[in-house]
Amino acid sequence: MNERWIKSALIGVQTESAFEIDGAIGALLARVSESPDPALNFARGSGVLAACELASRSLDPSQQPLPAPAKADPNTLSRSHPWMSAITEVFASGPPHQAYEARLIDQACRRLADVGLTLPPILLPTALHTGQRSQALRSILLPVLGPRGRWLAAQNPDWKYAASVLTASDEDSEMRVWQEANHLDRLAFFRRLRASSAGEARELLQASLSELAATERADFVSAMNVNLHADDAHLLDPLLKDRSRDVRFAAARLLACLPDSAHAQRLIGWVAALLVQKRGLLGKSWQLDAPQSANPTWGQSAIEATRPQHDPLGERAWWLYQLVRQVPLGWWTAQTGMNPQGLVTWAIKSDWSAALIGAWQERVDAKDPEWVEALLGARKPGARTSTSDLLALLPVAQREKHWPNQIDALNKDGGLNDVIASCAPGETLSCHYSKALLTSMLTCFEDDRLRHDYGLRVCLLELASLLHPDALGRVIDLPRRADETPAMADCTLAFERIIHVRAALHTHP
Amino acid sequence: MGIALTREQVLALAPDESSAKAANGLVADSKWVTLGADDEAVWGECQGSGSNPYQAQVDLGALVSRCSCPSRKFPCKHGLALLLNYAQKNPRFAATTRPAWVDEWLASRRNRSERKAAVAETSKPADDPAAASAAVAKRESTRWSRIEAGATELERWIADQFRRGLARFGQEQRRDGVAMAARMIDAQAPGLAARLREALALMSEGAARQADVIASFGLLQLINEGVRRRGQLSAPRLADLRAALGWAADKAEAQAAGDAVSDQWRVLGQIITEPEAKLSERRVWLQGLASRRHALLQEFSYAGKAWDREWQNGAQYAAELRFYPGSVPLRAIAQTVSKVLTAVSWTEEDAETAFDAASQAFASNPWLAQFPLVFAAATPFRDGNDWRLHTAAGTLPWRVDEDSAWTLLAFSGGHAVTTMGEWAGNQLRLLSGWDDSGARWALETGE
Repeated sequence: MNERWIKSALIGVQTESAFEIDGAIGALLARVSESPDPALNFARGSGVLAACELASRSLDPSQQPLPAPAKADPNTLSRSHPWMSAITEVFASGPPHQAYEARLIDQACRRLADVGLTLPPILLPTALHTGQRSQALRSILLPVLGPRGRWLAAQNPDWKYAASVLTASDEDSEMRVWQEANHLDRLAFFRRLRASSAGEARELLQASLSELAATERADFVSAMNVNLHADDAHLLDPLLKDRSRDVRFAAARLLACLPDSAHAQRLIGWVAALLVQKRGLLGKSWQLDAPQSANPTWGQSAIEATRPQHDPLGERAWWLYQLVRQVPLGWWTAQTGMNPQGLVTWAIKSDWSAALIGAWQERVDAKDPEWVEALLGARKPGARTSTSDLLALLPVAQREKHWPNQIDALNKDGGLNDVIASCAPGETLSCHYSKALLTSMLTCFEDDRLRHDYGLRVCLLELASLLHPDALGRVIDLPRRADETPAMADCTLAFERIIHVRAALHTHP
Repeated sequence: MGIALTREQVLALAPDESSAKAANGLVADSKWVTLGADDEAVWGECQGSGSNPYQAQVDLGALVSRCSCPSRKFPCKHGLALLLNYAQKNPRFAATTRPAWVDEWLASRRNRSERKAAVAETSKPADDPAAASAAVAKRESTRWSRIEAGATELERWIADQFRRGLARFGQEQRRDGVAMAARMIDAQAPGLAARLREALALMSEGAARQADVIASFGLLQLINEGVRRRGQLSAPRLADLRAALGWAADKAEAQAAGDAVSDQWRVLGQIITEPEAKLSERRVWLQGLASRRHALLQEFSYAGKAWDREWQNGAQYAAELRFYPGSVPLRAIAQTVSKVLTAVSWTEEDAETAFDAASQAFASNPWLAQFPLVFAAATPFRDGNDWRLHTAAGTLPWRVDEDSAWTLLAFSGGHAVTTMGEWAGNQLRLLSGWDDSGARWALETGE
């Protein structure tokens, strides 16, 4: 149909002559246009033309260039692989809605990555959609998307995050990662480079700083804690004046760890002036006072004179907290001669306990397990750092010493949440602890504890995703109760599903 | 236990690869709240995402399954998983009493068979063939009268729309159109009603579909003309017209007198749609190895009732098909079906030949709903927001739901694969795809 016919139909057919065509079709149109009603003739003619069009369609011969196909991937999980079923099950429900589902995806991807396999093509759209929804899972999904996943991602703007991932195999490719990849990949590359050649990484960052957004600058600066060296001060010092508060603080925190840096010396000078040793009736003791007034030069050291409106600390405590949170913990033990436990006990008794403990909790990291243990004993409700954050700094085995291995005891004092929250993605509980905890967990399915305790049901599922793989073989079939509620049945089935999927992923090579 | 099944036999029942995979994930004993079996049936309750477990059951006599899940695939993943469990000789199947819901289903299957037998008995030629023939002729004549009255009314309405101008088609005209579609149902011409509703839906899609609206009205008018001139039409053309009107074809007649073709048939692809609430339509497309003929097995199921037989994409079956009459005889009934265990490899026609055959089919019957198109070495790709298929003879647009489209793209990886779809004369809906390694993609869901 041409535009003229369409126009006639749109404005209304009042007269004949809508169709003007030669040949056999024209003759046929003339034959069917025998009615005195032009509109009816138009309808008949439209039928003839529509039938002709259906029979005369042709393929579009224009050979537009096709997008380049995906590169072959010899590492794709094959259809006959024993993991196929479990991996399919993990991705079957799409992007995760529950925390345990995210952990299962995380673990499945890690298992694949461990043996150098990539997801089968049929699961790639779901995997990419998962990464679109969950930023936390992106870094773990990216390695198992393989060349086909990246090829697919390049064709959907929503999956842009996965499109530019490059596999770094040689120096040229490494530099392409830095120049072209997304932020997460660049950050991972920067950390690797920092570990192997800290100076080169620093120079790379120095050259790119002006092009980075504030959040990216903060991430890269924080990543400089790998192989931190006195030479890094040249880069970090100017960043104390960065526009972004996060960047200023990240730089200050690192500079404070470089004893020869001007910033560290200024900081120690300020704190040392507040800490004095006094002689009393019971011998010498250390006393700490908060600053009396704001120092106008603090601004150059990422310390703010104005207390945030809703901060629970008073003004002086706020200043003290900011100073202390930058000072390396080693300075306190060296300066006072006390061990971490002694210092924490001393701090609790002082007038400035909230500022001191809060600052130390923020400063402590995995390199200071003695401090972590001491600070765990000083935890208070409403603290700036949660118990699980502190526990996460300890190795799993050391962490588990803080927890009973009975589910009821754990549930009673909020320990369940600590167990779950302190386990980083990919981390599991020890085999010994898992076995003991699992025995206790299984008893929950035998009585009424799951009936009304929504929280317990949720926690059990997440715990199931954290148990050591070697402990999983103990679950065969959970007992079912005749009077179970749908929620209990859901929980039981989900629990079994988690165990079976994880067992399958860890049973086969 | 009733019969011995192997895992391979069970998986061969899967309608597609994704169902088989999903079923494997449900085999775990723990997923089944209950399991049971006796000589006639096997059943189980599988906990799904809903609050109540899905009740899956399989009649071991015919290996026909039924499940309370909403899946439109038969057997669904629960039915397959149940059979896989059974094939593994799970001890939980032993010595269980058949629950009421299984009893009811088996009883209803028995009743249906008996009713079918009774209908077959009663539909035998009456003692007085002349009287029976006269009764049939009278029923047909009454229906033709109603249809003709309806077609005349529709003709007037279509001419009115063209006279008035489609640009002035507003809410009032739409209401009239909906009412007209309802009147076509009353006139016992559901095919006219469905086509009119499709045309009204096209009207809502704006200026880009104006030509399609005019064509739809034109093809409706062709049917109206056909109704009036039905006495002058050949038998195949009359069959085309009846099919276009939605006049259900006589299955018994096709079984008895339809064109019979015995061949080894491969399943090209299939789709389940829901044309109306609770009503599912399944179209399974076959092609004969020796005859190269295409065939369509079209079935309807109400309220989730199981299909008579499962057809596995890519599998080959030895069967005799009886074709319904028509200018392009595609629709058929399968008889004496048996699965071929050693499948034969096929050589596909080139794209131009395949497309020409489709055009020829539409030239013969402009009311044809779909024609199967198999393109070897076809590359699906995304062109802006559109999906297109590149073949050796040119490109054409295709459509499926967005999720399935992305899975097909992932499956092909930008490489050439063989695709199969339904060509409706102006658009292609892809149903399946496969590559040289035997890996397959199938439309995940109906649309």
